[in-house]
Amino acid sequence: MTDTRPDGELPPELELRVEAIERDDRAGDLTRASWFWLLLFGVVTPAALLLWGWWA
Amino acid sequence: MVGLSAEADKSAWPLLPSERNWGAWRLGIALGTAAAATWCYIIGEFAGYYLNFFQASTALTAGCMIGMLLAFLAAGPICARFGIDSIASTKPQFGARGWVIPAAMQLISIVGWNSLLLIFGAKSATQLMITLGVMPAGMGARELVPASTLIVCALIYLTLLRGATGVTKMSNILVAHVPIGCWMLYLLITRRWPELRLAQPVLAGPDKLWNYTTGVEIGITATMSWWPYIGAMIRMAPNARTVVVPVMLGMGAATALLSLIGIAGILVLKSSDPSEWLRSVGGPTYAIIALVFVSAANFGTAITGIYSSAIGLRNFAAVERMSWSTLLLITIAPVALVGALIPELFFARFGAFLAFLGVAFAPLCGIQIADYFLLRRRVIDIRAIYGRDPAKPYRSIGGFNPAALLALGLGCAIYLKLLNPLTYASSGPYRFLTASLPAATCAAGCYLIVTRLIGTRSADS
Repeated sequence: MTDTRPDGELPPELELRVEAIERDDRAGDLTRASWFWLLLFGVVTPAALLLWGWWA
Repeated sequence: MVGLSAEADKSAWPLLPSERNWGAWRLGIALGTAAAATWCYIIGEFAGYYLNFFQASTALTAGCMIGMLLAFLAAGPICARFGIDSIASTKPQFGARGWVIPAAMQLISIVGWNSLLLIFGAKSATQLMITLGVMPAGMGARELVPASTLIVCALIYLTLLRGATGVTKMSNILVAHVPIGCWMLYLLITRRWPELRLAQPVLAGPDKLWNYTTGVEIGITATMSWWPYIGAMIRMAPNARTVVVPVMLGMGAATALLSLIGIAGILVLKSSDPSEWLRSVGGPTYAIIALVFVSAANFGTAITGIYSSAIGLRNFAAVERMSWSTLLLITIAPVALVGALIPELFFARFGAFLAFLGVAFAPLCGIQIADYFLLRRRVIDIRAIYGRDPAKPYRSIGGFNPAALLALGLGCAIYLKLLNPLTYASSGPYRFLTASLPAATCAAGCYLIVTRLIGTRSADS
C-alpha cells in the first residue's frame, strides 16, 4: 500500500489521538510511588539478595 | 473528543487513556503468563551449572530483577505514558528510519524464540497425547511435531483475532500454570532437599566470584530480553504508576521463581525440564500434569510474543492499514513454516544466532535510558514519532541517528569482548561487572558523547 499523504500530515484518527495525548502528556508519567517500587524491586532487593547469597 | 475504537489495540497508534483499561492485576497476569515458559528452565539450568542451589537462587533472582529494571526504564516510561509499543519508543533515539533496526531485532528475536518455544510445546503436546493414549505410541516426533505446531499456530491465530482481548482472556486461563510451577518446585525441594542441599554444580570453576557473577549475568540477560514484549503489554495500562509493580513482579520475579525449577532439576536430577523429571518424582499422573504445564506455558508466551510482534510490524507504513487477520497470518507464518518444515534444523542452528542477538538488548536499553532521562529529560514529541515530515524532529541524518548506531555497535562489541554468550569464555573485568551492565553503560555514554559531538540532538529538535 502506498502512502499518499503529504509529508507531515497524519491520518485523521491518528491526528485526533495525538492531539488528545498532547493535551496532557505528563499524566501517565512515573510518580514518586513508581520510583519507590522500582528502587525497591530493582536495586534494594537485588543488592540484598546478592549480599545474602555471597556471605551466607 | 476521540471516540473509542474497537480496533485500537490492533494498531501501533497511541492508545487513549480511555482505551487503556488493564489494571495492575490484569497486566500482572498477562505478563506472568508471558514470562513463564520453557526458557525459564533453561535459564535455571545454566545457573545450576555454575552455582549451588542457594547461590544460584539469589544470584539469578537478583540478576532477573536488575535486568527487568533496565528493560523497563528503557521502553516502559515512554510506552506507558503515550500508549505506544516498544518499537515506536525507539524512534526518538534511532531516527525516523533507523527504528527499523530495533524492529528487525524484535521481529527476529520474537519469531525465533517463539519458533523454539512452539516446537518445544509441540513436542510436549505430542508426548502428552501419546501418554494419554490419544495418539499411537509408535508415531514419532518427526511426524507429530509439525502437525502439532500447525495446530498450535492455528489456535494462536484464532485467539489473537480478538487482539489484546484475546491475550488477556487466554492469560486468565493459562496463568494457572504459574502456581503449578510453584507446586512442582515445592515437590522437588521437599522430596529431594538433602540431595539438593549437597548438590554441586558440574561446571563451577575455581573462581567463586566468576561463578556468582555468571549467575547474575544469566538473570540480567534473560529479563532484559523481555524488552520486545513489554511495550505492547504495558501500553494497555493507563499510566506508568500502574505498570511498575506488575512488570517487576509479574515478569521479573516470575521468571526468577520459575527458573528455580530449572536450577533444582539440573542439580538433583540432571534435567531442567519438568516434563522429563516429574515422572520419576511423582509417577505418571505428575508427568501428565507437567506436560500440560509445559504446553500451556509455551502457548501463553507465544500468544504474547506473536501479538507484540504484530503490533511492532504495524509501525511499517506498508502494513499500517492491513487487516488485522492478514497481519496475524504474516506474523505467524514464519513460525508455522519453521515448525512444520525444519524444526530439528532450526533447533540445531538458530539457537546460537539468537544468543548473539540477545546481547544487543543491553546496549539498546542503555541508549534508550540515556536518551529519555539524560538527553531529552523526559520531553518526547509524540507527533514526531508518527509524522513523516522531513523537517520534523527525529529525522536525524537521512532518518538514521548515527549516535545510536555507533552506540549499539560499541555496546555489542564490548559485550562480546567481555563474554561469549555461547561458550561463556570471559575476559577483562567481567567477574566484577558482568557483561550486560558495562555494555549498557558504555552504549549510553557513547550515545551521549557522539550526540554532543555531532549535534544530532540540536539538529532534530
